[in-house]
Amino acid sequence: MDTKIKKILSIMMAFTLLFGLSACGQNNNITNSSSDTDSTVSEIKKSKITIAIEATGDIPAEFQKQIERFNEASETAEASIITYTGAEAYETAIMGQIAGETAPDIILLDGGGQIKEYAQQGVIAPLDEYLGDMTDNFEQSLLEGFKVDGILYGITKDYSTSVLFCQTNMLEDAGVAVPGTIDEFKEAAQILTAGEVAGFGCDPKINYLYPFMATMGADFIGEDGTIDKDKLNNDAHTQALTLFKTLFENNYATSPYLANAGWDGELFGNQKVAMLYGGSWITGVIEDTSTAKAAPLPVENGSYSMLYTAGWAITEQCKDKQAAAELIQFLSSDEELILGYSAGLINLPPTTTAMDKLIEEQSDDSFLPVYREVVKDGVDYGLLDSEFTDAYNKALENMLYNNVSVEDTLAAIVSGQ
Amino acid sequence: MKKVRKRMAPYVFLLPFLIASVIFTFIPVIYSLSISFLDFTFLNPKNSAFMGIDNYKTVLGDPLFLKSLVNTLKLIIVVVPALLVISILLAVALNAKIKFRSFFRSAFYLPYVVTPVAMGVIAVQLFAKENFIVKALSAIGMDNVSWHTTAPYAFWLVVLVVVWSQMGFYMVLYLNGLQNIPAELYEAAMIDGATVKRRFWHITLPLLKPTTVLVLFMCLLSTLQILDQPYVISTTGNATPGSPGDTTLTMVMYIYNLAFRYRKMGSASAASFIVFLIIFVLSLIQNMTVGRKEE
Amino acid sequence: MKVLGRILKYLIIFLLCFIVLLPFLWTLYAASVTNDLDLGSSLLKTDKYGIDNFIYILTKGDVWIWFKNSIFVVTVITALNLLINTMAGYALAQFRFKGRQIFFLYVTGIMMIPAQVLVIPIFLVSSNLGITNSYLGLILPFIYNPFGVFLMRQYFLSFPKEIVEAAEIDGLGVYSSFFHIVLPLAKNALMTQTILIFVWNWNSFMLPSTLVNDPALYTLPLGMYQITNTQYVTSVPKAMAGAALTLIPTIIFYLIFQKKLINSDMGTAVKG
Repeated sequence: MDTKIKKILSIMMAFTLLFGLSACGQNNNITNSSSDTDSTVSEIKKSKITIAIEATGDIPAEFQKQIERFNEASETAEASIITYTGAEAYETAIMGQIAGETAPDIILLDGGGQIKEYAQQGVIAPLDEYLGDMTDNFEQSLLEGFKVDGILYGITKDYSTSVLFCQTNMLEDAGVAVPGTIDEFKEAAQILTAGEVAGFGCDPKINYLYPFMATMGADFIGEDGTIDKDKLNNDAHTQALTLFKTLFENNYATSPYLANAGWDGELFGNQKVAMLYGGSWITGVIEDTSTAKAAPLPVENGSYSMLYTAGWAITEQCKDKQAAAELIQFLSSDEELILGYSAGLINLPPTTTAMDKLIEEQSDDSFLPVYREVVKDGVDYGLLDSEFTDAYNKALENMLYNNVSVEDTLAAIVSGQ
Repeated sequence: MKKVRKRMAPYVFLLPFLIASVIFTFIPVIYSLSISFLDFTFLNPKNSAFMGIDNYKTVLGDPLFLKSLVNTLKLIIVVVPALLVISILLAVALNAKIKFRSFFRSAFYLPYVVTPVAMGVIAVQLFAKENFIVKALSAIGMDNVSWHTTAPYAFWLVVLVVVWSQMGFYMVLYLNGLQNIPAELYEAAMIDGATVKRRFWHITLPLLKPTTVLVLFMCLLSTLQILDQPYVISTTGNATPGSPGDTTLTMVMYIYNLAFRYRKMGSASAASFIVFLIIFVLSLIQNMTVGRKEE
Repeated sequence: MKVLGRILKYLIIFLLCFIVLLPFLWTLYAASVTNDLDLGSSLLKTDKYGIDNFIYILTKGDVWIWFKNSIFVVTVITALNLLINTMAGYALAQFRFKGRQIFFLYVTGIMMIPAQVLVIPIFLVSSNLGITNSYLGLILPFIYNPFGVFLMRQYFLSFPKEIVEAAEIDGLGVYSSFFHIVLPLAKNALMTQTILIFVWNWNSFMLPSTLVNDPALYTLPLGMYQITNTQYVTSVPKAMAGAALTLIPTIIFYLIFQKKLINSDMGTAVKG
């Protein structure tokens, strides 16, 4: 028995030694391959830039290609990427690196609260002196989330937005036109509810319902994300909440929670709802895009939409900010944005010029023009404080699923402030 | 020379653990403890204002934290005894020389290695409205609702999932403990004419006492820190963690929200230390009462 | 009649097994659904099944590199854990020495701290040691485990001292008696510890994902997350295929080691 254990242990040790040696060898190979390309460099020493992103799926490989295109084109800078898997891991690691003073040169941050925090703590650099006139052809609403006290700290990488998706055949069969106003929307939801299908579907969270609240008069998200208490606690808000409570109570509307779906896209993809107000990434589940239409928010008082943005920021710890700016400029060029769109690297291009070119190129994509239309009325979701968001969403859930009255819900929201 | 060696021995044996744990646990703990007294952000560590015990006061005054405390205590009162009983019975049953023993042992162990997501989905499905279990239960007076969306039931769903996924682990511990009971004792008892029940109560249980101490302790500690299972169940269908209505919010879920959703590191650290003290006190209590378990 | 009773007993156990195995069966079901949207539809819809997801997992990305990494990292971690934890547990159980109580309190104290807030501090320590983004970073922070120490201490508390004393009479020192006499007899406890430590570390995600960013260093859980998630959505069928495949080594490991959980017959060792 004793020798058997010894045998097992020694086999394990040999095994691990073997792997250890081969693993160390491989580790060296990884770093060696990037320095191999240096051997053909010119006399001018290129600045090394590190850029960190959070990436899953094919993104690391595609991004690597994009960076290689930059390295070839640039004479003064050479970039390498760092990728983390999962947003949590990314944020945690970046925070740790910043604290440990080993931060990458360019990082990806969400617009709104995150950029604000990083800017206020002096972690990232103001960008005007490096990228001043580059921002001219950006959608201005997309840059709002990256300005802190009027100073620009980030360059939007891409965005997603929210629109009303409609099942074309369901609307046709019922003789209903795509609703343009809130009243039409109410009616349409009722008419389109038939059998197993609910007229309207959504994930009842503040980021999908805020545009409805806002257009009905409760536009409580202020310029820099501060909550306007008067607009939060007013009749318009009560009316908007009542609208949804009624829709759900009468089963004209449903949600993933109620319909046993994983997320709202599933509701639309499985034809459980006729209309859905959700994020532009839902098009991923629409197999045949001719069966669906996208439309802007049905309005009452002004158009609204939500924006989900991410942007590049240069860390203060970066030693050559001009070189970093060059990389950002490259990534924001029309060509790279369009290539990135096709490669799945970005959601929607942040510049008007790139978006126009894209719409021309993809002339049979009916959704893109709608996004272009709604982006200018967008509110950056990142502006919302996450504790407020959780409290708001909880109150909404209680109202819709647990029979809490509208008055109590509004009270909970206001006090959660 | 040998005497000195012998006296130094325990320290030498402890040294590797000490070194590794000091570097990778103790130092981070001290770091975290110091954060809890500051208005801290990792983005700018040097610029943190001293806040004394403000973070602690905030946490203790937060009704959500108190709710999570109550939920977690409710959880251990139910889960720990349930797991204890079930895993002993399982271990004893699967220690006997029955056919397919390996298969059974693996089957009951499997839920432990299955991802919490799978456990959560199955549990939610089995106890969803209109599914036959819920229908059968409504015949004896329970409501015909989906368990994961309705207040008192969601808690019990979490209990179910926690017990379901952990029993394999403790079964293994008990199986291990059973191996150290010499077969002769059973043989002697059988010669004396003892029944299965008597053998269990008078031989098995008492000799399993060390394992039971271990199981009780580990179960208490891990249930007090439970996160994955309630999180997966409460966020089904994309709901906020802790739903419905914060009935499935556990203490560590509260800490997780503070640390990873709201990025309030100071408060999260303070909450962690409060939880540590709670766990410490509870395990002391358990330590003192376990001595009574003489059977 | 006795036969009937027997059959009934087995039937009940099988039924219980089936219920208990449901999550695993669901994992396999979800993994075989080819189109994500079909997950909630009727089980009988036969055209929605296929092994596409398994093929995707096995051929996408660097699955085999991640597998190799997991095997290497977890094996080393487990081996070191066995050594470090067992030694600590033995010391706490079998020796009377100054500071014994304090050490024990320290070990149990470590177990009582919720690990979530320690993620970034551990990252910082690792970063200062220069071990992030390397195999050392995936291994060193995990080579000890207070639960393992507790387990072994509990076992060694009832370990008969006479055996060690007999060995010492035979001229063996403290260390050689530990390695040559005590450890072999503690086989069962060691096996149990191995199973637990292996599983814990095999599925470990949170800390490794922050310590390592080079995809070539990913362990299986990290890699699986990488290829089954997009920015906004998780593909549940693909994730379940990944989960099912990741499970397999732990099951094999368990099957091998649980067979060894047999009566070690220590009674004779003492009597002789």
